Amino acid sequence: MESLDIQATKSSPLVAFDPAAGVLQIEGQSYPENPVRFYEPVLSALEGWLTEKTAAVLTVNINLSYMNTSSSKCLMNLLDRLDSASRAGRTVSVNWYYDRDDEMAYESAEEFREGLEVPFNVIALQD
Amino acid sequence: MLDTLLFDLTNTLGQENLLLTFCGPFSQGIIEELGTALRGYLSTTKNLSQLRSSVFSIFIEQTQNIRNYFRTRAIDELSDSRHGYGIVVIGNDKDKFFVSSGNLVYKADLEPLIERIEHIKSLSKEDVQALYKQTLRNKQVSESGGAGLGFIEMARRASEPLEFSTTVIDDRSSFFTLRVVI
Repeated sequence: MESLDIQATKSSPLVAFDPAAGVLQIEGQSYPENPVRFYEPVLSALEGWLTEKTAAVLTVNINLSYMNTSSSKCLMNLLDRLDSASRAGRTVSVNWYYDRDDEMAYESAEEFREGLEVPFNVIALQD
Repeated sequence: MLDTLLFDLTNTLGQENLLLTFCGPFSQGIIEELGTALRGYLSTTKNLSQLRSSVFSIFIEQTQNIRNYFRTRAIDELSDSRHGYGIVVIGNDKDKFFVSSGNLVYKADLEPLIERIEHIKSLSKEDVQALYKQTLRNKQVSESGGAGLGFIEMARRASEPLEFSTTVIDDRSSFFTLRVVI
């Protein structure tokens, strides 16, 4: 089972995936030069896990203080995948953290959530 | 000669209330360093989080646009410094921040670029928002790996319509500038 332990850089977030616990953590800033390439291993680890562990519960924590538009699209892809797993009967939940002082960060979370059936908690970060 | 030029440049830039100016090759590393400097500056100001994140976001979208364009068109920044350089400035004008940038654009790419920006400029804030949501959800990625969201993101975070200009360099290329007021 593939685990992930990608350290954060100035422009890319920490990504940690613990297959045993069923927890995926994405945290930091996301504006790498090639977001598609950056998120590809994340999607592929997730895909492998969903195929192999057919009964396990998955929690995804996303805490990004900034993401560029290309990263947003990659995250939307990831959320779509989680949503289809949820619709197929898997127990998946998303915790999306945002800066409580930034109104647009809240609106952005709502935009991601719109139309998804996967449980999606939008959580304000305290100062 | 160069000494006078530097002095004049500094004076000119100062008159425009610019906080940060960069002219040179836009590598990912340079974008990150400038971004960090900008973050540092913005964190010392008393502006709202949303304003700070908008200035940062518009800066990243503009500089990565230029970086991606040069990469896609194989414009070599080091071997052709006259054409391969981009310029970006961040300033403060009547209590509003602005981010402006300029770069070479090939003739064949200019018309589609202008059409795209004119289209976004013609939309109401609500329509820009709707276009953003729709584009976020389509699966298309451009040849440069772009999401097609950059100009839309700038327009929705801007407090004034996007402004652009073009200046012909030669029969193959023009210099394109974009100004976004936050």
